[in-house]
Amino acid sequence: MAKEISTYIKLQVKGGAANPAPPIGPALGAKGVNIMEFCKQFNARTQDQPGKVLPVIITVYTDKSFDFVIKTPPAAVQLLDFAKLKSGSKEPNRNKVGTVNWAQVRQIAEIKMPDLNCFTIESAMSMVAGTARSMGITVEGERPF
Amino acid sequence: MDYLEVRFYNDVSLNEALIAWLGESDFQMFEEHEDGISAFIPEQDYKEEKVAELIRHIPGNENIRFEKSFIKDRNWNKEWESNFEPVTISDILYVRAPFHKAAKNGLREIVIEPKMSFGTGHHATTALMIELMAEPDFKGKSVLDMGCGSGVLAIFAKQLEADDVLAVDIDDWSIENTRENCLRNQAPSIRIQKGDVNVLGKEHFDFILANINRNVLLNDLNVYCSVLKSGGSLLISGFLTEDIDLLVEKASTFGLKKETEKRKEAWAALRFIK
Repeated sequence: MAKEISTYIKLQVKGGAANPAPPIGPALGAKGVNIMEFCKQFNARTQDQPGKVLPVIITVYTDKSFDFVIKTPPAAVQLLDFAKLKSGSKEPNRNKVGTVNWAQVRQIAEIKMPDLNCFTIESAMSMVAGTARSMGITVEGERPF
Repeated sequence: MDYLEVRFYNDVSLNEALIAWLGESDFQMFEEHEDGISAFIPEQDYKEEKVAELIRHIPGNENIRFEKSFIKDRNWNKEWESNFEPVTISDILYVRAPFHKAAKNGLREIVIEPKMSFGTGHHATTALMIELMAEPDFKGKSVLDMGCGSGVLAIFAKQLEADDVLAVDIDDWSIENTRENCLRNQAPSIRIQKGDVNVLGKEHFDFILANINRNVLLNDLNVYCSVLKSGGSLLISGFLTEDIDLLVEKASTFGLKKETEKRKEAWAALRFIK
């Protein structure tokens, strides 16, 4: 028989950086889950993306066991990575944030397609470009569609 | 460690942008809400001017407001720790809490009251380390336990009649917990030190135990090797089976030869000899 689900917990945690502190500690701890076990697993599974913000959905079962799914980094996080690469500085400049191009927008749209509820790559690209605008990043060049 | 929750109130469409920008600082974890986000950071790392500077990138930032709340450090794992099952590891060792009955049939036992520290015997990596430790002779040897957590491996080394044991961890809870568990298991002579490989001096060891994670191990292998006696053993775990080759290769560049490999579930453990 399938295990009975107690709750879902949605968080965003940096790769390799889960520790038994808030919000993981209080959220999982209150459900009687062994937090140390979650942290060890999460950190091992995200060790190739250290420091990158990753959405994680944790399913907690009534028997206090758990499962979790790690999603691809949010479009905004990926956009910021590209913008930083371009500006060549690890610290984004205060005034000139940097830019990305449409090829990069497409690359992110392709990765995020499954999460975005979009039927076409163009609509996914529009959403990613919208995210770029919302965070003050300019998309360079002519819109390809 | 005490934490701050910084609760941002903003249009939900800005949640993603905010998380991305705040991720550029020392905020480690985030939670999304319908009217904003919560961002979490160790209180000692919080810098208000850094937050203001990051938010300034976002168009319409004048409508974002935030408030901070202080979250005092406490044992968040208490609920699980108050009611877990004892573990028998491969007929070698019985690990239990103070509230469990003592081991039957005279099996060697360690009593652990974990308090938000790793090492209750439940995790595959702890079991693998115990199994690796059961093979060589620890009698009269010197042992270093890096990332000691609950202190379970250091205590086990002492039970195997190791002479001198040093337990090291970066985490306050682990240091305190190792101290308590050493006393609880009649192993008061174990030396305990807070820190990482930088606290290691000129002392050399016959055995080094390190159940940590792949990235820390890769980074610190050279230091372990430098404080390991010639002919001594390095026992590591905390990594996945897919990372075995990478670790074996890196260790070989420091003259460490793989002696034993063990696997359990997705996890692995290795013993090297210098």
